Amino acid sequence: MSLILRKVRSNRWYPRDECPWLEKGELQADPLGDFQTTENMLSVWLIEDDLSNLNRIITALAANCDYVQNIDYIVFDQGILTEIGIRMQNSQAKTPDGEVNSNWHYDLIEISAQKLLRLVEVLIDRVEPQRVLPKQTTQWITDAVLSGQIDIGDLKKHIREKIESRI
Amino acid sequence: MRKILKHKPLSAHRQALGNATVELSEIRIKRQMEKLFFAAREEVFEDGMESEFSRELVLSIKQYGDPVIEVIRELILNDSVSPEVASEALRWIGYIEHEDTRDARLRLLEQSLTSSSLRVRDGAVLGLSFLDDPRATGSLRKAMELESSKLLRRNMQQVLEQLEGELQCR
Repeated sequence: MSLILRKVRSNRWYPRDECPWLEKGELQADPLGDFQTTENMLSVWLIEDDLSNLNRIITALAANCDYVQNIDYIVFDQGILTEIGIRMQNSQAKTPDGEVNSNWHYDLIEISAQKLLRLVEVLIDRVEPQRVLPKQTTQWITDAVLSGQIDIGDLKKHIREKIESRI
Repeated sequence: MRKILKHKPLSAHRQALGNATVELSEIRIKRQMEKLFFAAREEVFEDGMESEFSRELVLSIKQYGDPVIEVIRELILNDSVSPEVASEALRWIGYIEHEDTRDARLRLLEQSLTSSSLRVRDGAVLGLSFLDDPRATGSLRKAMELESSKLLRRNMQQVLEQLEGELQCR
């Protein structure tokens, strides 16, 4: 079973510490902000079992920003989707890395509000966000440009300038 | 008998006028920042993306310098603003390239590591990561010892390693 990656904003995921008002068994609502659907779909990335494409996908996500940034993300087992009954289908993404866009981007489809809530509940319970710092993403984007994985012309202005100053 | 009026020398008037201008300017900056932070409560921030708030914040810092940082320090450390907005501000305060305010920004980020809000502490950690200034290692190490959140402690450790690496490079 493969793994699924979703980009999040880690500070929405800090546990109950800041919510002493939560009743037993309740979860904070803020992580829902990382699961905003469009046409009842949610964009995710397929990660190989050996994590061989993980850094490349993170690089593509970072290269798609307006500015050089940290990338916060969660990775979870695809089995969780089967458990909840959420289907996924391959779709084209729009990062500056064409291979990443065609090979590993998926949409979770036909998501009902109930399924989405269940998914968030399970994820809050089972996974913890990871973070790649901006200095690291900058290095990875630079490497990707140098190796030809990413065309510098496809980067947005501020990132392009930053990368140009390093090569 | 005629009363003799003692006049202040002209330089003293100029000095007083100058002080009044500075005070007025500080009040204006404070009002402007309060308004900016208040309005930003409605914004949804996304990592790596510019927002109206970030644009205005960066412009203000570049235009007015340290006095803006001082006002932001008060707003954040007195918990007068939304933690989410404060957290976003701290990221950008670390991010911007502006040497004139570097020391003031570093101090603010270090002080914010002890905020009562986890989100604000997280913003400070990310801000320090952007600023990449090894002078923050001591504050970061101390903050890690006091940090109650395992996740944030791990994020602090990452930044500490980055700054220590930077120190070795110098």
